Amino acid sequence: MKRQMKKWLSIFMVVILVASLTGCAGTPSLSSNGGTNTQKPDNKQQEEILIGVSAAITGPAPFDGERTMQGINLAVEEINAAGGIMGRQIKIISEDDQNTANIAVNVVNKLVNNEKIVAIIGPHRSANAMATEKIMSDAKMPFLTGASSPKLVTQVDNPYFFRIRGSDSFVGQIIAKFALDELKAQKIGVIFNNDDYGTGGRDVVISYLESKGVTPVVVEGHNTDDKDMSGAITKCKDAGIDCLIMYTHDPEAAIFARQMNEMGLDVPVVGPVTFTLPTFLSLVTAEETKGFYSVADFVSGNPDPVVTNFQKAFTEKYNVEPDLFASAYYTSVYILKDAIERAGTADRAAIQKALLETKDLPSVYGKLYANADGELVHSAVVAEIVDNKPVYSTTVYE
Amino acid sequence: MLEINNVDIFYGKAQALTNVSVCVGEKEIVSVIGANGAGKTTLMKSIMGLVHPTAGSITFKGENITKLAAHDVVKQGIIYVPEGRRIFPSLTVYENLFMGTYSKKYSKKEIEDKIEEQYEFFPKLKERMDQLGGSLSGGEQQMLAIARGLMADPKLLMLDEPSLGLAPIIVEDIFKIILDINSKKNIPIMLVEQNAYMALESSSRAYVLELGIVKQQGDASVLIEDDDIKKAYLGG
Amino acid sequence: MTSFFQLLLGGIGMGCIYCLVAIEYTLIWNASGLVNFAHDKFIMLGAYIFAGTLVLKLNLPIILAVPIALFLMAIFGSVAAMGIFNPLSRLNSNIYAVMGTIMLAKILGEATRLIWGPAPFNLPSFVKGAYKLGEVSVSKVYLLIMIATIAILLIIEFMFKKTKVGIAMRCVAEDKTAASLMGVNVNKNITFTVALSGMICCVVGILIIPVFNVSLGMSTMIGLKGFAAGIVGGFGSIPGAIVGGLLIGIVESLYSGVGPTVYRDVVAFVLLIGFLLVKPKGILNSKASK
Repeated sequence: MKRQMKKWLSIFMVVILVASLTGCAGTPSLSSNGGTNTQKPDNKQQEEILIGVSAAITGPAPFDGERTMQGINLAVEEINAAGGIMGRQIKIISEDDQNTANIAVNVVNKLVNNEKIVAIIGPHRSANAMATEKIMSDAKMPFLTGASSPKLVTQVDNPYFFRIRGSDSFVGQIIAKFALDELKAQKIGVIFNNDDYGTGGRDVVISYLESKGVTPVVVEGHNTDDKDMSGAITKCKDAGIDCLIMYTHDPEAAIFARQMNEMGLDVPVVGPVTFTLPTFLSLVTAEETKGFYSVADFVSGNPDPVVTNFQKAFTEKYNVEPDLFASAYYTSVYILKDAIERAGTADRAAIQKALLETKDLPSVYGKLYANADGELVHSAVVAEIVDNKPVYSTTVYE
Repeated sequence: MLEINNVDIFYGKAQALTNVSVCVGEKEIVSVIGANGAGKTTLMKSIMGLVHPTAGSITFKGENITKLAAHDVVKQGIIYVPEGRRIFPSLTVYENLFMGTYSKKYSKKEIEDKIEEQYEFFPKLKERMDQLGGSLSGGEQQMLAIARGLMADPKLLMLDEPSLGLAPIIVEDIFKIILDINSKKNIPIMLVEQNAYMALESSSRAYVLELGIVKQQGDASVLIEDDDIKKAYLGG
Repeated sequence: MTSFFQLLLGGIGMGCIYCLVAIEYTLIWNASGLVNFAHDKFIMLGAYIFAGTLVLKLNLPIILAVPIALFLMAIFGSVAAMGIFNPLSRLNSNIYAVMGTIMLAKILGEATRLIWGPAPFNLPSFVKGAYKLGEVSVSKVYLLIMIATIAILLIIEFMFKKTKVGIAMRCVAEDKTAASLMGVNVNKNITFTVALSGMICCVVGILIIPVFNVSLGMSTMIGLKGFAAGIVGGFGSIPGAIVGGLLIGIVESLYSGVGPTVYRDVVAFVLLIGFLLVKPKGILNSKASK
């Protein structure tokens, strides 16, 4: 009896192990319209325009993914309600890339292999975009991403890549310029995340500083998910910096903010959009973010009417303020709409060509136009974090 | 007092005990002798609930203890001093003795008193109280193991190979103590021994186990004169 | 010089955490011969219960939330022991126990994400701030960690030397059969051990909230480093856990002051591999280093 029990127990265990591994490691399909592969011989369905989305629903920063989908869905709703694109409804096929490069590769492969998908939105993080850009170009699939690393243009020549945010080559310069000109910094510390985003930003910042004859006194990297920054902070204190430039993601930035405060590193901090993100601000206190400045794409308090309208619509629908992800990916759908309408047809090649000709398109990021590198956004806003809230300061144009 | 009736024990497919019946009365010292592998320790383990019979029953003072787990058998008052002593080497002598009382709810004073009692039989323990069990000699460990067993006021004391690995002079001491425990404290003792001579000398009755079967049983004084037994276990 | 003390302080603080982690899994290992691969999730669960439910949702004062969280984690540990550790430790091969705790880890991770959501959060006013000792900034949380660690060590020492159940735990760790012959219900004792380990995990979880925030990945690294600490100090040994934990904590902290901080986490594992190669019994020469 005992032996029999052991046999059944082991079979049971193996079954559970297999089930849990497949269940938890799979990439769940989140289609906003229900099924994905059912081909009903229905006229209306065949007319749908399919757009693929690779979003970071799970992973180190899951709120980013949530806001991404909310932004996309709001735009799709608005457009479909107004008759769709050329009379055809938009349908979103979205997948969770878990904000991880190798999963993103799987996801993008799956999306490009679906012949009905004519354009892809995402993946967001620069590392994941870098990992998948070749798949996109091989499949001649135009894709729009908020990945801001300059490497996507400097290290890679991909005609299907379109950036829907200010590139870090632009943002990074604004950051460095702000530190030098507005904050009058002389001893600058640069803290960066070791991934493509952080290293891309670091390179732009340092090259701008050096072009002005300034060398940063501390340059320290860290990894995503790192939890202890005291080594870098100590080095900064020892070097006596008077300004810190920080290029990393919200969880790591939050830990930095707190530990800087506790260790008494009391200098202004300049960085990209990270400091305006609610996912960052919810982890820190007003005291910790005193003196933080953010060069961002999108900040509430921007008086531009396009921005306030979008804010109102988003807040009404979702009961929460939009952020960078919501605004960027909301805009991406409208960019595609504009391109498809100009192309007159929804197929990958035509869309890619039309995107390159984007001109004077009003958006929450100002007037959009495409340059030869696929960059669509050419302005940024500077915000100061006051009382743990981003306060709009000014808009800067490229 | 203790009755083992028609018990079969298997280890996997191998049968270690076949239809074994043994009993121990109220004031007795009973020995179980036999060669290595005869099943003597298995018998003890089955009483203690470390292994369970597939057939037969074990009762103690009228209670059926066949299916009880070891810690519950201990609570019935059966204390087993296992083969190889198995004192706790990283615990001090005091802590070992303390663990002997685990199954009882003694107050601190009662434990102190009980330890004092052990000095009567095991005077050497007194000076070794704070020493680690692992630092004692073989003979001292055996004494500690028996003392530890006595700490719980056993209603039946079972000793498995108490002479194993000990010098003859120590073995004599140990057996003297065993006799004293039985006579002075009125505790019945069940003894398993390879040293058949010492065992038969000390017991009132004995069983001879061979390959898992009770080959012979009877008064120890009679068995000790038996020719077959002499040849097999007493060196001719 | 101040940065040296600053880093040393941080190193001791984190070292205490690694030490506590090493102790909690060593207790289970000593008692049952099993490694609790879900131990980092126990830590995370303790933090989430304390911060997510008791403080943020039910608005309990800290002074109530802490003992309640400890109590709940003790119950959770007992259930895990009765459902997983005890049954699995009796099976022939250890592989079932390994699989069992790995699966438990996955289940706990997913369950936490479903119950409390995937976004990291924080307790804004919980042990915030630092004292100034001259130029050196002493984070309140590191002070608390050190005090808590010393307290736990004293409690465990007392338990092992002076209480019936503690001495029984040592016996169970040394010789289960002999322990049962003393009347110890070994299964119950192991259940108690896992419950105790669960409580220590809960303490660790609560202590690291001010340092790491509450997130799904908050305890993964310290789980691994705590594991390394136990091996470096001497697997299966409580004093070894202290030595190993402090060693890793201090070395990695001091390293981050001189070398590129990107490689900070590597330090613990370099130490681990180094010791495995050169002195597998650990600093304190433990006997249990299989």
